[in-house]
Parts: sequence; C-alpha cells; structure tokens
Amino acid sequence: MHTIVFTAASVWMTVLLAISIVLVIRARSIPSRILSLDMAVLISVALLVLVSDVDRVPYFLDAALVLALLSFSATLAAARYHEEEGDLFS
Amino acid sequence: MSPIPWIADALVVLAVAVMTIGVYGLRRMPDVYTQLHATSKAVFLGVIAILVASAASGDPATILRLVLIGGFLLATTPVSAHVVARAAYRRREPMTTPGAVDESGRGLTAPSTDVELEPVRRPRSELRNVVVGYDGSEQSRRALERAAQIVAEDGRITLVTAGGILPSAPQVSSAAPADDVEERRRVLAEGHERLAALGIDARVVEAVGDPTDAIIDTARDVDADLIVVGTRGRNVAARVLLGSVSTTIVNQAHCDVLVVR
Repeated sequence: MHTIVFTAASVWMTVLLAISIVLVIRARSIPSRILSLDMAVLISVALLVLVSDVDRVPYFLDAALVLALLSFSATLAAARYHEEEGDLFS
Repeated sequence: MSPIPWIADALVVLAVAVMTIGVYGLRRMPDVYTQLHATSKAVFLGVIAILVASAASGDPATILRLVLIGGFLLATTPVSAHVVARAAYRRREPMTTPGAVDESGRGLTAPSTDVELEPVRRPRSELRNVVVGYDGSEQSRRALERAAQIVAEDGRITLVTAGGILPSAPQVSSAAPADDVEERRRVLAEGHERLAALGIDARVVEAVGDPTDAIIDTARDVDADLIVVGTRGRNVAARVLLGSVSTTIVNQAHCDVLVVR
C-alpha cells in the first residue's frame, strides 16, 4: 500500500512538473516566469524525495538538497537582474 | 501494525492535493502578485508534507537530509517570494486582479471595467480660495488637478505663472523674453481651460520675476486658504541657482501649503 501511494504520487508529481514547465513557457510576464520556474523546482524536489523513498536510493536526497540550494540563488539572481535592468534603461 | 505508514500515506495524498491546487492557482491567478500565493504557500506546504511523510519511514541519515531540505526551503521560500514581488513592484508590473488596491499610489492597478467601485463621497471642502503655482510642467499639472479635487464647490482657483528676469539666465538669445511671454500666456490659457472644463471658477495671474515671490504675493493679495505647488517646476537651472520654489514657499507662505508629488 505504502509503495503504491508513493509511486502514484510520484507519477502525479511528474504530471504537475510537466504542467509547470508549460506554465514557465506560457508565463505572461518575467516575474511570473521566475515564479513558475521556482515552483517547477519545488515540484522536482518533491518528486526526488518520493522517488528516493520508493526506490530506497538515498542519494536522490542529495540531489534534491542541491536543487533546492541552486533554485534559491537562481531565483534571487534572476529577480535582481530583472529589477536592476529597469534602473539601467530608465 | 504501526500507524506510521498510514499517516505517511495520508500526508502524501494531502500533499498531492495541495500541490495540484497550487499549480492550478499559478495557472489561474491573473498577475504575479496573486500567483505568489500559489507557489510560496500551497506548493511549498505540499513539499513539506512530502518531506515529513518520507521522514516517517526513513533511517536516521535520510531523516537528517530531509530535515536539511525542509529547513532550507523554510528559510528560502519567503525570501524568493519577496524578491520576486519586489522586482515586479519596482518594474511596475501591473496589478490586474479585479478589485486590486494599489496603496503605493504608483498606478499599478489598471483602470478596471468589470468591478463597480463605490463612488468616493467628497467631503464638504472649506477651501474657497486656492492659489496654484502653474508653469505647464507635469508636476504643476498634478498640482492643478489636486487643487481642483479639493477646492470647495463654490470656490475659486487662482493660477500663477511667473518668469522673465531671473529664470531666463540660461536663455542667451535676446528674442527669448518675448517667446517666454507667449509661452506663459499659452500655459495659463491651457490651465484656465482645464479648470473651466471641470466647472471651476478660475483666475490667472501672470507675473514677471521669481515664481516664489509671485506665488506668495498673489496668495497674500487674494487672501488664499491654500497654496498648491508641484515638487519641481520646469526651470532646472533656476532651481539650482535659487533653491526649490516649493521649499521657499513652504517656509514663507502665510497660509497652508500643499506640495503635490
């Protein structure tokens, strides 16, 4: 039962990840795109945790941790760049 | 049989539901300010629930990593959300959510068509005699509009424009003063027209010399209740030489002064 729930959840996470990537592409504005990307990474972290639990492979958790770390600095950099650009050209 | 696996399963089902709602929220919300709710609350909560579910059945090394991931996300998600919101706000990303209120006054809300807002009831104004420093600049236009908003219904607005002697310093050509006079008349006529269109009784005063003196003297002459000026007039060179018109008026006027930004 436990494995079935976790497997079903990871399949559904994959679907959500695909949807969120479509949302990244179709975002209406740049901040919205940064936000969608951030959400896609959050979903990937959840997916990695689920897969690591189902397959009993703990090193996926290291990948999840690194992904979370990277996504934070990436969001920070992208948002700051978007913000500063206005100051350069206005 | 231990109940822990069941709790873990329930948490995963809950997380999947909440994250689905979060993704739908991101798709459905009209602007980035509301989309922030979907990611930084719903999806984040789902991830935390999955981490807890996985930790319930894991060994100590796994739990340690999960706690690390969870703690890190807990610290960084609000920061990311804030940074994205700030970037959107500073780049004047419009608020398109129906009924959104932009308290910053930066005009981020689009003029909404599908939401009926209650008309703002104008309080009875005691200001019957308002003097406006008007030189046709963007700031002075705003000052004029604000004066038109707050003047009493039977009140009167006096527009003052000045220039000629001192502020013409950067204009070297001898033909400049005549153009200057023409320009001032045109500006005053335009301001008068704007007020007439609003049904407000307006007078115009055209003075030669320092705008500060002109505005203060006119206000004293007509015994004004209020002087309204913009933050910065058209003539930057004069401002550097003489100091800000609005600052001087605030210091010297006999009545209340409103500096419009």
